Amino acid sequence: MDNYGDLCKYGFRWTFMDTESAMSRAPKDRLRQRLGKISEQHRSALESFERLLTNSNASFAELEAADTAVKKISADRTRLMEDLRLAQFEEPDRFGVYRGRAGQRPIREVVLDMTDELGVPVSPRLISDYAVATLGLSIPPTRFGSLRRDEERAYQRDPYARPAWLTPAINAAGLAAIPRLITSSAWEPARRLIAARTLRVNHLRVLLALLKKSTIADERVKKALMTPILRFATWLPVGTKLDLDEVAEKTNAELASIEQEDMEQRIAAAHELMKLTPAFQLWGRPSMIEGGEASRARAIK
Amino acid sequence: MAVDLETIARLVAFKKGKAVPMASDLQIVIQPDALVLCCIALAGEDTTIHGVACGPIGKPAEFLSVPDPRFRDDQYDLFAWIGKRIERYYAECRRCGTHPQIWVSSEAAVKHLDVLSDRLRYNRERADIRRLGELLTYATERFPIGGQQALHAATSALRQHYATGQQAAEDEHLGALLTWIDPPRRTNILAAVALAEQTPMGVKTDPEFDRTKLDPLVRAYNEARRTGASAAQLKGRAQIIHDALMTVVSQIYDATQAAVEILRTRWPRRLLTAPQLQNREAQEFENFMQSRDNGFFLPTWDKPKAAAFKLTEREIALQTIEAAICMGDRVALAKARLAGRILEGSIENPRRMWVRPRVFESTFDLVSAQRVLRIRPRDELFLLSDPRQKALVRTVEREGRKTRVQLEIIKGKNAVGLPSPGSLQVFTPYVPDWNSLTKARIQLAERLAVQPWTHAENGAIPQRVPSQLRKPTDLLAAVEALR
Amino acid sequence: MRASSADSRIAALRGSLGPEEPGARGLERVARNPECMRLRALTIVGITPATAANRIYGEPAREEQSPFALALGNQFERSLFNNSAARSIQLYRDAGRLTTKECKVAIVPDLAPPLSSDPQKLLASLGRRQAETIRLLRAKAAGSKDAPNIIIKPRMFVRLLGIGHAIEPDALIAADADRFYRPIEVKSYPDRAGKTDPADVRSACRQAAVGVVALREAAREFGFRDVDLVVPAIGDLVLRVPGSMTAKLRSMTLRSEVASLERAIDEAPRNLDELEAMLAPGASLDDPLILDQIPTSYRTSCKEHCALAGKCKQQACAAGEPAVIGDMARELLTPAGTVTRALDLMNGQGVPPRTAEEVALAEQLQEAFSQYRRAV
Repeated sequence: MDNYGDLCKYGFRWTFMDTESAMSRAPKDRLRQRLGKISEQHRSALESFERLLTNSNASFAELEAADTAVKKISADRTRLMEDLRLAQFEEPDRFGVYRGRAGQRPIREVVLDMTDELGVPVSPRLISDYAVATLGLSIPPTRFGSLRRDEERAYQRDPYARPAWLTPAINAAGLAAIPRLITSSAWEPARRLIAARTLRVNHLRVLLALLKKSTIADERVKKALMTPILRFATWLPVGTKLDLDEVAEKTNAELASIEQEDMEQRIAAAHELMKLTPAFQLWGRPSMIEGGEASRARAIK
Repeated sequence: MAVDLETIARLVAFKKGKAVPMASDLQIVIQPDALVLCCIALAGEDTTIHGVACGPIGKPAEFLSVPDPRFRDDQYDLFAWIGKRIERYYAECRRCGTHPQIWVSSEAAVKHLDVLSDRLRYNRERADIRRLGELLTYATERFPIGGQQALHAATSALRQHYATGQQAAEDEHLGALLTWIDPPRRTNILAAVALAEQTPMGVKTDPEFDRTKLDPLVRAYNEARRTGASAAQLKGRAQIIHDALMTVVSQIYDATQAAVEILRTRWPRRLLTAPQLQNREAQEFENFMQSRDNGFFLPTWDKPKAAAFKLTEREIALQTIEAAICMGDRVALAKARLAGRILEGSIENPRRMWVRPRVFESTFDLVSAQRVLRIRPRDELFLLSDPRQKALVRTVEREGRKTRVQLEIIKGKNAVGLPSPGSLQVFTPYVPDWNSLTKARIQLAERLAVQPWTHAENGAIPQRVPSQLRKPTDLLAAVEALR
Repeated sequence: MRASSADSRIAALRGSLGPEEPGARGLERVARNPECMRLRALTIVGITPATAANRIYGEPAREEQSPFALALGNQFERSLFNNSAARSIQLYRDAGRLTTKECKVAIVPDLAPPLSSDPQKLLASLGRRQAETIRLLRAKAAGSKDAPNIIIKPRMFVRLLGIGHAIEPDALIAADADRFYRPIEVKSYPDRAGKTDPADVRSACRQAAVGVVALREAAREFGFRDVDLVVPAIGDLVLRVPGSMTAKLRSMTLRSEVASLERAIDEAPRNLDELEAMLAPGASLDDPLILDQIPTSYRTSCKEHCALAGKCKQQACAAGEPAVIGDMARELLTPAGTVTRALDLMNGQGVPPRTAEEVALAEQLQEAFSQYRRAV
């Protein structure tokens, strides 16, 4: 074999492959690839069905299930074919926005900032909505699961690696973590605790934070914040015109009636929290099951 | 508890493996220009229409669907499309002085229209949607009224005429009911019905169909919409959803049409009172449309006075239609006979006695072999064959297995005369009085001119006022005398 | 121990099938048709009707709920319990049931979340949920002023034959002055006041009744004597205004539902004995021939709640049970016993009437039949 020829061939082939790999990202080719896989699945499902047909012991339920599987794959195949047909005639109008890593803040930093702005333990969904409204940035709530795990692992490797960690809220009774609510390790302990009234207190504080943000934001952000504000101001009937000052007044009035008691409880719980190791203070005490109950807890199907 | 005719009919049907007649005459009026309306809602969203098939009886349907009825604008456009057709139809009926008639597949579909009409007539955004809600309200508010002809559910209409060999609740599946009426040859009827039941015939698609077909298609459409796909792509995806829905809704439409056709062709004899039913319906329709023209509001909940009127209307309508059917339909008569609601027997001792100059008393005995009788002294009964004659029950006595009822003719003594001895006669407590509703409304308007304190808002309990009337010595007799 | 003895008896009756939690739906189902021994037997041994239909009888598994309806139901529930149950609090404030200060909310799944998808760890998290629930209920029973007003997704137990079956009511509600909690059932069914679908209301009420029974058991364990007063047979239904996500609160009395459920639970031990007596030694219900031997009571309402309705109907038709043509026929034709016998009596065929009741029935049937024939 002529090396130079190979090289030429190789070079040509490389160029061709280069072009081909660019083409393989085109929707039509993706669809063809998927159709190929679906066809294989379809064939396999049909074979299973035929096997059952020849097996006299196979129940009608099994036949029905196999037939349903074939139909489902067939429906997927039909749908993909329709997509391919359309793709043959249409170029996509828009590709997804490409965001390069360089120059973009890590998500954890953004989440820490959002959490600080809202000021109380909050859910991933709220942070997500707040980020979209204020920064136009999309952080899928599902991202937070891995973020939480990454934070804890990084802390375990080196607790001093970062000035602040994304930590879970802590239940005032029992001092176990409430992973669904996110706090900052830089906050004072009482602020990271959830006592009997704290969920309501925090709900009102978030509403006040949203109202405050909307007074200083530009028109786009102001408009975007209306939806979460309406969601939080639950006493307003659907379709009511929003009077932000009135909402703030009512929220402050309710907050004044309950926050003192709530603070007292959290401070008392904070004293208990400070007796634990630094890791438990941030990440919560390990969950315990009261004796005897675990053995009676059956799995739900 | 006595055996009723429906149980007998179901027994016979079960044995035969085929539905049997439960009426001798067509119990309803079928308007030649009636509209068949079959809607499919998105599961869980009772105020939506995902797809619709709409057309006059005996004609093919027009179909329309939206890819996802949760998108309000698309949904409103579909409502507007239906609204145009209903408006046109109603206007035509009004012009001809008749009434509209809508056919749906089952009572579930009636309930769906009811929910829609309740919701749409308060729509604040579009006047055409509001109008559709109002027009549908006519049909849905008439539905509970006995003898109404504005809105028919195919299952209810068929059940008035057929008894199947299954439970009454199972008859609500139109496919199953039609299978009983026209069973496939050389097939176990129960197997055929079980198969028919797998095809949805209400207002919802099958959950399995939703899971495997519809949900993925709707998701794909929504994803395409969210990511800004082209109009052609969206249209293509919408078409796929439309095709999937139309396979479902067209089956319901065809079944509803088949039901109407069965009633139209296999029941050539109409009730004698069918013209009165039509006239009444036309009057109600005109009243309703006049109210809309005059801008009267349709409330969600009736105030006490309006509720009293409507309740009276329902009672009178039910009484009237039952009496009308009983007079015309042999099966209804048999039912009433078995239930003891009518009196049938042979005549004995017809007598005409002189009371005073030019005044005679005509009495006779009627001996009935009916096992169950709901007749009491002082009841007034009409002669079924000639309702001009009215008789008063004087006494009711058991004689072994028979009942001897002594009657006095109080009306129609001369017009009809005494029945001949040994003849078989039938008496009924009710005859249809097509003016009774008007009379009742007048009476109610007078009696309720002043709101009773029990229903007044913040009504205070009135002061006790001692009665000025003399207390009767025999209280029981006084109460009996009120009957 | 009685519990483990019942456990082993039940496991033996279940055969090769694994236990399934009936949940609130399964428990209330038993009370819907108390005469159906088959339904009761399956519930007692821990097999759902759907599993029985599919795995024992080989019937195709049918999807019970549309993904659209499921998604809507979940969305409605989320709208009530998200944001620290703000909408729920508002609903109860508007109804005058909670004051501004009564805003203590405990979300049990948050307090004991699943830490991984590992089955053992999931099981452990369920145990923690139950522990948290007990802690919160105990606080209320002890009169703590910090006891929550709303507990979301508590995990409680209803004991059947000494074995606790987990149920998770949507929520529990109590004002500070209330002695104990009341269950809340959230359903996305449309609330149309008097026009609300009775089947929807029935189903929701029955599930709430299971919550009442579970609360009464908990109240007993905490030492309350007058549990009927502490936990009255009342539940809150939260339904949806049609065409919107607005919730509507309705308090419903559940006396008959709770009574029928308590009766069914009380009769369970006797049922287990009866069940074992009915079957051959070593027989288990995972065998269709064995399950067929357990009597049923097929009714019109079975289709509403039981996946075995189709199968039972087939068997009822084959056996000629009068119930196949309606509940009224079931009552009227009792002296005849079967449809075939009723037809014989009606037509004057077959064996002459054997009892006075058959004689009376035959007369009625013949009279009614002759009327019918004349009419048609």
